[in-house]
Formats: sequence, structure tokens, C-alpha cells
Amino acid sequence: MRELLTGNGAVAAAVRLCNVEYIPAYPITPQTEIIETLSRWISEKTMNARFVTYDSEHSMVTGAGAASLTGVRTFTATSSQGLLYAFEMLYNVAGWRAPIVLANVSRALAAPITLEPDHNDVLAARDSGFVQIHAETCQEVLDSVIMAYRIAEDDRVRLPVIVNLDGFYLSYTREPVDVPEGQEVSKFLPEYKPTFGYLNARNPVSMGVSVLDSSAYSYFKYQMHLASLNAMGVHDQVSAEFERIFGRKYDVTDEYMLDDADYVVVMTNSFATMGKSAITRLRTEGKKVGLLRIRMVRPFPKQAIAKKLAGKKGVAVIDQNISVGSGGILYPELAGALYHTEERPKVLISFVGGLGGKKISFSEFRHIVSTLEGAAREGTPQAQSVLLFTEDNWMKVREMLKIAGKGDVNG
Amino acid sequence: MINVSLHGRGGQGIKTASHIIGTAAFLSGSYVQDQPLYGAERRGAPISAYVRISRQPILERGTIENPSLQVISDDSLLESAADNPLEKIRESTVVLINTSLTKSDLASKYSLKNPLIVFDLAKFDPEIISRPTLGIAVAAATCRTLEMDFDLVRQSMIKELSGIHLDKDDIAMSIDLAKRVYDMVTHGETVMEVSGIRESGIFEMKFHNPAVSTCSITATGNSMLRERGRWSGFQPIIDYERCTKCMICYVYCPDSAYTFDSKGYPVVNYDACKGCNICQTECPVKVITLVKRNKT
Repeated sequence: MRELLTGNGAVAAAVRLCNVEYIPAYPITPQTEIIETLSRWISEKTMNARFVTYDSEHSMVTGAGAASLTGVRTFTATSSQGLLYAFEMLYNVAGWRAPIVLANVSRALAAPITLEPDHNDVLAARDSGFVQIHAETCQEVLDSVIMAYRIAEDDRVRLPVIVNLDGFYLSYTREPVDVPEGQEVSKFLPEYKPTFGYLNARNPVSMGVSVLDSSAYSYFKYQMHLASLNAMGVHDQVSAEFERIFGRKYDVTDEYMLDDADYVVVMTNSFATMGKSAITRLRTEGKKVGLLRIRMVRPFPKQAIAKKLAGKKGVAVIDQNISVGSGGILYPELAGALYHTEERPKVLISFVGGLGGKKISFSEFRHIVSTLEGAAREGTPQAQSVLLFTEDNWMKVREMLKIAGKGDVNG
Repeated sequence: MINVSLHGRGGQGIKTASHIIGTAAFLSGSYVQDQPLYGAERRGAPISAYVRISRQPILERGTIENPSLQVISDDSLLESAADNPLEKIRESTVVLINTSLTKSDLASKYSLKNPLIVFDLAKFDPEIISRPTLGIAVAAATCRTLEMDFDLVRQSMIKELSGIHLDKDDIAMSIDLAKRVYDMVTHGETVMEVSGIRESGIFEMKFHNPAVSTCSITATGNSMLRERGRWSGFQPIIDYERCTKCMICYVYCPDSAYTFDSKGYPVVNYDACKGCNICQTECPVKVITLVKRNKT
């Protein structure tokens, strides 16, 4: 059925379709609607699952991991400060190889406090062992949650998965979404039957044991890395099956007007929609530009990215995040992915934009492309991240600083 | 693409209005995107919601910068310097507004040259047009302005209002109200795509002294600049004959809206009062009553 759903509603619909059995929950804006919806369905008996409210995200993620290890399909959701509060347990749950799916609704981190999105929250978890899929549309949110269980529960992977969606720009935004039939989803995602030891009173096992031997630690840790790398191939296989049943196709990257483009903008998540709009407009101005969106952020699809960007004149990486003291987080990962390829783009420039949900205007996209063109022409690559921020943005901030008592600040 | 930008106050049902409009357009076969922006997340505080309607897939997100139609549920919003929805309109934006002012009064008072459509919900029985039903009336007026068939509005309302758990009788009453508003609004202004982008140069940010660049407020008392009195639906009135000057109201007021006169009696600053009713609840001698606030 095709209906208007918010990103939060799309997550909830997918969780119900996946026959999730256990949902530990804790509210946080802009994610709360997910757990409100699921708890309502469970109370109305239109969904059969156990819903438990916890005292914090730290306990919630612990509960999710523990429940998953008893052999039940488990879902949980959080955002921003909540994800950080659970941080220690993200590494634990991944180390337990518990195949949970966690929806993270991106919201910029305090301080200063805000409710709108950037990706410092989800990218802080990039080294935890969770597979990460970042969605652009509400449809992709729904489809990615369903695919995430297939990837998480596959024995070649057996790692938890984060499905990321932007706060407000997706979480509270309704769009037309095709909601598949339960029977179809069950065909794609059969009942969860773990194939190896899990918590069960009849066959006791110890999970999350201590290894005071460093070789053992190295072994277990590197096994997680190898399993995560497997997730790329498993994703492609799962995606092909998904396309056969539901008719929608997802790769580890998504592209827009990329093939014949000389200059490429690399983005993630929902702001890529604005990027596509800007690309369309720049094309009418005669610019040969395209967009590459990285959908799978962990494992990082280095080869797929290098292949897509081979032979391009210039590439701009827009990081909607900032590693304070370094710059964009994904930029060095892209540089690493491209370094060993013969046909790597000569120009690779880092842009930081959309912090705290600040919209990226057409002027800023135009600036990106002219910076790329200039660098390609003059052969003077930019070493530092360029901030996407306009004169209009500054005028607004300047006014606020005045009200806050900081005087009339000159830019 | 038609961009509809709705502006109202928390509790008026503006989010529901955007959903009714969005679903009606969706049922007519259009691509739709709608989104509320909750602002202060408080009853009475300004809130906006956005609906994009297009025959093609929509490649936009977030707040609307170029509204085809600006809908204003409550003319008290025009008095607020920080939230005035008229600041966001373009030359050809059609403005649809609930006000008792006439078109020409409105145009001259706010120097507006835009196409205007006014409707006056104050003409209705205040029992029918209360805060939660205002959004329904606004949705109906908007759908009429967008020349949507009322049958789509009806179908959309049934879907959206049952989604927020209204019972059958309430839905029927709401549809009845919507039909009356729909028929009352005279359309005649064509709502069109408003294109064009605001260009702005790139600002190169430099280091600022942390005394400036730390997120802090040094100008104490500047919350006075943001008058919140218009958020409130009710105002506390004190019966001074019976007031014992115990200061409990002052202690409990979360917004420091209470001060004292020279004799020690509490005085309410109505510009700071959000109408939360806590003083009335806490008053030990029950001398505070609440009266409905005059809208403007």
C-alpha cells in the first residue's frame, strides 16, 4: 500500500513487518514517534512484541543485546545524546555479535543544544562494530530496516546494524512510501533462527567473556572487522533479492547524473536530496556535475567509491559533521579510498556544511563547484576544510550575538 | 511545485492541518511532502508547517523559502517581531489569513502588495472554533484556496482525524465545520509556483575571542525582548479582596511573571505569562481565576 509516512513512521512500519519480538525503548526527540507508534500498536494488539521501557539508553542497548542473544529478533531506537549515553554498550553489543537493528535519528550534539540534524552522533559510533546504513528518503528508511535484519542475522556478518535517518528532514517529514505486504516481507526475511550457541537455560553459554590474553583479543576483534567487510557482499546479495521481490534497488552508494560528470559532490543522508536539486539546476547552467551518495558508511565501501570517482576532474566531499581540530570526518576516508587508484581525481576538496541542520543553499552548492573548477584549473588544491556558511547566515548570527550581549561583532 | 507554508500557534492543530492538506493532495494523485516545525514545543508558541505538492517527484526538503501560499491561522502572529510570517513571503505569494480585518485594512497596516484572501473565524460560535478545531478550519480554507475538491478534503479528514483517535461524532462535526469554512472562503487568487532562489555570498569565518564565540548570554534580562504573553490561552486574575499576600504564586510561577506592588500584593506581568495555570492550582486560598485571553 502506498501512503504518506514520516521517517519515524516508516521505521515503525518496517519493525512491525519484520516481526520483531522485543523492543527496549527510551524516548528522545526527534525519535520518540518511533517508540510511541510501536507501543501503541502493541497495546492495540496489532503487533505482537514485548515493549519494555528502560531507565536510560545505556541500559536499553544492554537489554537489546542481551535479548538478541536469547534468540529473539530485537529492535531499538535512539538519537544524538542518547546514542552517546549508550556508547560503551555499542562496542559491547557488537562484540557479543548480537544482530540487533538500531534506528538512529540524527541530531547534532550539545553544546550548544539543538534538535536539528548533523552526523557527529552516528559517526561517533563508526568504529564500534555496528554496520551503518544511512538513508535519504522515508522509503529508503523502511526498506533499509528490512534489509538490515537480513545483513545482521547472516552468519557471514552477525553484527548489529544502525539505520540512520535525519531528524526533522526525515523523521517528521511525510512522503509517499510503498509499504509492502507482511507475507512478502516474511518471504524475504524468514523467522530468526540463530545457528550457534545463544542464551538458553538448557544449554548454558557464557557471552562477553573476558580475554586477558592479548592474542585472543586481537583474534576476536579482527574477526569483527572481517565480518564487517563481508557485509558489503552480503548487502549486494540481499539487495538483489530485495529488488526481485519489491522492485526497488539499493547499492552501497547511490548516484545522480554521475556518469558523464566532470565534477562530483559526495554527500550522505537526506541533504543529498537538496544536493540533487542543486545538481539539476547547475546542469541547466551547463555545468557537468553529478552527485555520489554514500549509503553504506560501515563497512566503508572503498572500492565501490573509487570505481565511481575514477577519472573525475574534481570531487567535493560535503561532511555534515565536524571532527573538531581536523575537519570533515568522511573526507580522509575518501582520500584513503582513492589514494591507490590509478585514475584518482586530481582535485579532492573537503567541505563542512549543514551543521546543526543548517540548510545548504544553492549559492553554497555553486560555490563548491566553482572552487572545484578553480582548483582543477590552477592546480592549487585546498588543504583545509571549507565551511559552507553564507553572508546571510552570518548576519543572522551577528544579530543574535548582539541580543546575547556580545556587542556588534565584526566578521 | 506548489509550496504551502502554514503559521499558527501550538495547540491550534496546525500540524493536523498540514496533514489534512497533504493527504488531500496525495489522494488527488500528486507527490506530496509535509513537515511540521515545532519551534518552542509549547502550547501557544508559534509553530509552522510546510506542504509541498507537485506532479513530479519532490527534490526539496525542510523549511519553505519560496511559498506559493502563506497561511496564517491567527493575526496575533503579525504583531510578533520575532515570528512575523509575513517576512518570509515573496512578491507573488498568495496570503490566506484568519482575521477580522478587511483586505484593504490589512494591506495598508502591513504595507502588503500580495494577493490576499481573508476569512474570519471569529464569526463562528466560539464553542465551535476553539483551539483544537482551528486547524481543521484552516485546512478547509487552504484546500478551498488550492481549488481542491471538497470530497478529497472529506476523505483526507476521515483518514487523518481517525489517525489521531477522534471518534465518529467528532469527525462528523469536524467535517461539517470544514464544509462551512470551505464554502465561506471566496477564492479567486490563483496559487502558483514561486521560483527563484535567494543568492548570498560565502562568508569566510575567522577566529573570534571565546568571550564572544562561546554559546553564552551576557545580556541578562533579554528574555523580556521575547514577549510570550501571546502564547497564553488564559490569563490569571487575582481577587485582591481575598489575597493574603502569601507569595506562593510568585514562588511557583515558572516564568517569573509575578512582581509585587508597594503594598505587597502580587501583580501579573501579562507579557511574560504563558497561561500555564500553575499559580491558580497552587494558590492556597484560591483567589486566582482564569479568564480567556483576548486574542489580540
